[in-house]
Amino acid sequence: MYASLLSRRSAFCTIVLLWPALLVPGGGMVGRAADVDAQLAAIAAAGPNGQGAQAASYAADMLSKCDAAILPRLLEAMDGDNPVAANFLRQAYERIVARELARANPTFNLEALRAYVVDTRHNGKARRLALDLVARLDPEFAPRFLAQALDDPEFRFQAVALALERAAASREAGDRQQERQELLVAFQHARAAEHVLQASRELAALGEEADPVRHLGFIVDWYVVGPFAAPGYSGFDTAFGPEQQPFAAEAAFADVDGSRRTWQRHRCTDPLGLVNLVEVFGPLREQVAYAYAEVESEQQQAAELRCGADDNLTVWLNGEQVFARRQWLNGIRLDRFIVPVQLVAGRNQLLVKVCQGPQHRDPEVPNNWSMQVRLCTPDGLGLKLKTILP
Amino acid sequence: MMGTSCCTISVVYASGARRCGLGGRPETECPPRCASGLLRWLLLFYVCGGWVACSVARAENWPGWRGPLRNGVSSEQGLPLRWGAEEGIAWKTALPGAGISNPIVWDELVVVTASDGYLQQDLHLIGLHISDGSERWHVRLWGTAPTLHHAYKSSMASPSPVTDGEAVYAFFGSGDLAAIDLQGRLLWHRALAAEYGAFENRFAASSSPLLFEDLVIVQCDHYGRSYLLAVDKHTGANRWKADRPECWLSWSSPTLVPVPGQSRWELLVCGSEKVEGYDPASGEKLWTFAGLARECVPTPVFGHGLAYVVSGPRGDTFAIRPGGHGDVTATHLAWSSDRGTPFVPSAILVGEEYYLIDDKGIGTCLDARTGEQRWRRRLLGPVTASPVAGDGKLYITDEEGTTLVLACGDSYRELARNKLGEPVYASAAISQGRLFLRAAGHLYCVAGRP
Repeated sequence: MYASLLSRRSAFCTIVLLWPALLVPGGGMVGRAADVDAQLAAIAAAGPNGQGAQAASYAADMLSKCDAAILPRLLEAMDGDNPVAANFLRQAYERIVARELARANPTFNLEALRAYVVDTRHNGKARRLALDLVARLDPEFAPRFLAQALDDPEFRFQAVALALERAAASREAGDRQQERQELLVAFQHARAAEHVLQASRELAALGEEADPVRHLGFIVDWYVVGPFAAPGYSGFDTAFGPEQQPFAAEAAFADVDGSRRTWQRHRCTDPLGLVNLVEVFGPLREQVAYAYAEVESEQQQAAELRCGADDNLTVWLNGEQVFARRQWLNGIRLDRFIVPVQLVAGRNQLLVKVCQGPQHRDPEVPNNWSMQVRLCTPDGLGLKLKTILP
Repeated sequence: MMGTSCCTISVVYASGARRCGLGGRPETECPPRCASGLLRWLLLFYVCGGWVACSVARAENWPGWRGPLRNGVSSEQGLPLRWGAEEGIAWKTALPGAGISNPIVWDELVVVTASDGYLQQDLHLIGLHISDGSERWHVRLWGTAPTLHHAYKSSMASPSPVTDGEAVYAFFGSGDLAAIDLQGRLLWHRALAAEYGAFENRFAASSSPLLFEDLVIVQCDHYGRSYLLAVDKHTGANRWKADRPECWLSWSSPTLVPVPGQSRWELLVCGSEKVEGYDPASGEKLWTFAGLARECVPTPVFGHGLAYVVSGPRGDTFAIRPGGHGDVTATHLAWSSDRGTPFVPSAILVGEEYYLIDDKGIGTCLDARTGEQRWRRRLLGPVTASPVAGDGKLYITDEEGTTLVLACGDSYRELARNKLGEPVYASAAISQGRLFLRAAGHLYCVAGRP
């Protein structure tokens, strides 16, 4: 059913789109539906290395002359994984919208636009684009939709932010029960670290425990061993003892100077699972350390290993190297690297190697040495795995 | 008023040679004479560029990062001296989102870039009428892979666009490179993050694209796989790509310098504790000069036959003779100085003086030929914008929006101190007798000569 905003003109154009015939009079006959197909195909063919740009640019011009009834079709054409084509389509979309909005009585297929926004199968950026227009035409839609989008892959962040705002409003109003409820909803659906931490902190103030570490799946219970001297940038390519033999808590390793290195238990207390190796081993340079963890999975399952380190890290899962990055001077950032992995049912062993490079020539630049590892679902929710370190 | 197209084309195609005309002090190493692409330019230069040198008081475009010569210096006269939030402002236009790219000017068109929206993924190119700041067109693109950025001092719109009068070439921190014609029509788009991997950058990329003949050159140094890329300005297709596997994060913009005594140009690229010279036509790496900071931001400038390369904080300025092969660290240094090196603002060379404005607002003036200090003093509050100069005036703007106007010369002389009343992080542009100041939320056109 079309919204009341749909005019006879747009209805005509939509009919034209549905039954191949004349498309749209937008200052004259622009083309037939088959022509629209051809223009969309030309844009879809645009891609890497400037490929198809000239034809896509022309096609975007042609499409921009169409009536606003074509907008849902342009949006659908934005689905997929072609950022170049999507941007050419956006040019046509923006011009049509601007032209239509400038008219005395703008006419849009509002229902089709709303339907596009709420359908999570569509391209997230294009859904936002459609939402911008819907919000202008129907100001009540966006807040209503966003409040319910707590599991929406594109709008989750805003939905959780709104839940946190509602919690704050309840707090202001002195309604502790409603505040607690809103915070629990926010925490449960939050995937962004800042939201998880905020909800956790505010729930704690209400006496409610909400553990960010468990929620996001950080591994915080480790054995660590080191340091192993690694002059310059040699650490990445040097296989020290811990990666040459299966883990044994009582194992001992000799550093190059004969020093004895043994595994020591380390449980980090950072709410985002940051293991600070400077705190463990001291402010060293040109060294390597290892960390080892065991987690239990109830079943075989796919997971995402999300990790980062300063300076760099190599990760083995159940004896197989699943990640290595020769990158120095990194700076640690949450979820910097995302690696699809398979967990086996039962015990899973993680070994992590973290290198520490030379000191910056400016002694005031901190020489950080740290790591951060978590196991989660593709949407970032932590897997509730049990630590089973010996 | 206009009639400047051909001369500005000459500037864009071969900016180094225009330096001869600009300073009024011809330098023997300037004019390249062999490269076929530059022959056309030479003709333009002598026919038009020379005319510009004589008539610069009328109009000069500001076609890209730091102006026609990529050094912050304008040849115009009659530039503004005093203004305030309400005084001396020809027009003021609200801008969307955030951006520290400098505005660019081509005849009647002023172009600014910005980004906003969720994750700063909406990219804007906005064309304004130079007469009143009204919008001529507004192009919106999606950024392919937005990165981390600084809350105030960066966004996806940190790199400045560049134009040759036929199209505007814009590069964004999301890894998107696009060409827009002067009517706001998207000509081509490259999603470099999709093709070569997302940029990994904690403050968002800020390297501004460079035009050389029919190439658009971008420097993509980041935590991931770094590279230099030259694409055909007409099609966006690769012409050459030079991988920089040993490089990590930097924000510096590449620049062109003429090689003394030779008819060719070199592309200077700063980053990862070195500056390197490349052949801009082929991407071949020619030489390396070591000693820069780990992460480089300022753009080198050229004059007196020397490339002035600075990186800080607590780094050095190196005055280097271009040319050579291999490691030229020990052989091509003219002088160095450890005074006043900034982290973010680029330095500026005006005549015999080389000025450094550091991030804390402390200014240092060095003798451009020897590196000897002329003066050093606190000027303003914290500074992010790079200084610009013209008409014998040096404009230095701090983060609060106060612009200090100094007289260019070997001694310190303050001419004016102008408060805009709005934070400024972007570098200014000079064109057609006006100063364009991009503040946090507005673009200001400061009126100059009548």
